Amino acid sequence: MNILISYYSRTGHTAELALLLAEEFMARGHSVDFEKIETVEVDHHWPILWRTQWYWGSLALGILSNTYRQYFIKNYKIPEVDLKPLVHPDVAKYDRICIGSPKHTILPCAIERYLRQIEGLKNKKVGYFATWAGPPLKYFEVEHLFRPAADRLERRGARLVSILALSSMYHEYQIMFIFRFLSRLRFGQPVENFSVYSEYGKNNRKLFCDELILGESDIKESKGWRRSYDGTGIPAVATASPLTTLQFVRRGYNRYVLKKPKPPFKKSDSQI
Amino acid sequence: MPNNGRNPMTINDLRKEVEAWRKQKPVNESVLLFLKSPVDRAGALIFFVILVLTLVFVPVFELIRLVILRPIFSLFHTIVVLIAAIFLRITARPLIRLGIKAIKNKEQKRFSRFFYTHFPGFLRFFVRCFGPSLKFYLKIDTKDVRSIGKFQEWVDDTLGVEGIWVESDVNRAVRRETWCPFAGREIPYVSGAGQESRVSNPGESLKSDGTEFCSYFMAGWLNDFVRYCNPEFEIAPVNRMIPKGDEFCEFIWRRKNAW
Repeated sequence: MNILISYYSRTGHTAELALLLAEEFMARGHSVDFEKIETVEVDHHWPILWRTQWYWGSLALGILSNTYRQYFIKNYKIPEVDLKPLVHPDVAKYDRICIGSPKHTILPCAIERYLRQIEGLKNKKVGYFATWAGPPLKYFEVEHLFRPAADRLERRGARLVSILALSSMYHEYQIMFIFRFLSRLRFGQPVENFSVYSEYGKNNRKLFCDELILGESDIKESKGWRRSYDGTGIPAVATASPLTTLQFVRRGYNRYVLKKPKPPFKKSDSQI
Repeated sequence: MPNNGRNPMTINDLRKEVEAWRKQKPVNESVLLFLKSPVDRAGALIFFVILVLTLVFVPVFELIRLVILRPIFSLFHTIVVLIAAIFLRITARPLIRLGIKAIKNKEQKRFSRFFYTHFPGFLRFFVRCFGPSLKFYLKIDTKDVRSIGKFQEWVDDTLGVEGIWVESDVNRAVRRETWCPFAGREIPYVSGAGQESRVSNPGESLKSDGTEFCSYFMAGWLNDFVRYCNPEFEIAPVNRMIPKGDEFCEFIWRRKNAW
């Protein structure tokens, strides 16, 4: 099977994941070509933040209302940046296409342009892999990257069949401590457990390749973004609403104000 | 050029790149250490100020926009589009007749020459007046040429033209008009056209050539709207037309330039 791996990497973490995936595909006997997506102007990290920081106020509103968040993800207009000429502008000869990127609050501007620019996407099966600082939180992380990508691929006649999101353990603005806290809060695990070389990372890389080669699932239809939060080793608590991020407030209120006894620990299905 | 003048990357190239990167892999620093350069300090300050402002004001503005302004805008734009549709419905036939006469007599008659020269300007004026409302009403995504093509769907629905999209991509969309109420009546066609058997009384205008109306005025009008929405796109010259004897009129919406 001919596979194209297109990746956009600024700090090198996505390129590393692209290499690991390519080795996995080649070990299975598939031929792999690469497309390194590069912007014409070198992206400094502050301009990237400038393009998306207007979104952060809406993000705050999105915590309060699911409906608004869905509306916003669907309608948010992602700016584009010019790309250097592509080596493979027409992807019609490939059986499967893998696209990789980081997450810049939402879909990166370079990928927004790339998904509009490439030709021959009709009826293609596409996998999308990403590296970002934090754990694979469903809201604001998985959903903000893969849903716009799935929408844009669907518009081009392609189908998103597989997704992979792993932690790069690095944040350009040096705010990793926030993601470490969120990882403990939501998953009860250190963020290292979701990194590229963790057990979770290895298992999910294999799953990603399996699903992409099989090409039967439809990420957009499944509505669960399943593997990223329900995969190996992740408790099912992450499927709850974003307000459960604040469950520690409720727990503290129950325990210290209402003086309720601590409930006995119950293992969820995925932990058993 | 197949590879755009660039060498295809192999896995060994990627391995070398990743190996080189691993030697100087970026590591997380403390936030305070990160702010050592003046650019980063300035960037962080600006970002922090904007972040506070957006966290406070954007939710308020969004609520006002969605709860109050959006319904008002919706009502306003719907009324404007309704006016445009009524105007188009009433004036289409007389304007097409005038246009055909102008095309036929543009060399001889002064009024025809005037009409031929200034009618595209009038159509551009229509786009300038009704374009914003149509864009809002039709929920047009200006990056997607198929979405811009909703304008043609709206015109067709208003005037009673039947057509289908045979290609729908973000960079290229093709619409085929299979039935036109004006072809054979106001706009004549040559013998053997696909629609000929469906028109019982073709009328006198059959004696002249009216294909220019669609290829010049109509396509020009659509082009004006495309240019208004996104100058990256255009309508290709219309070659296949019912009046020329084809089964359908084909309008190709496409990107103007290479990437």
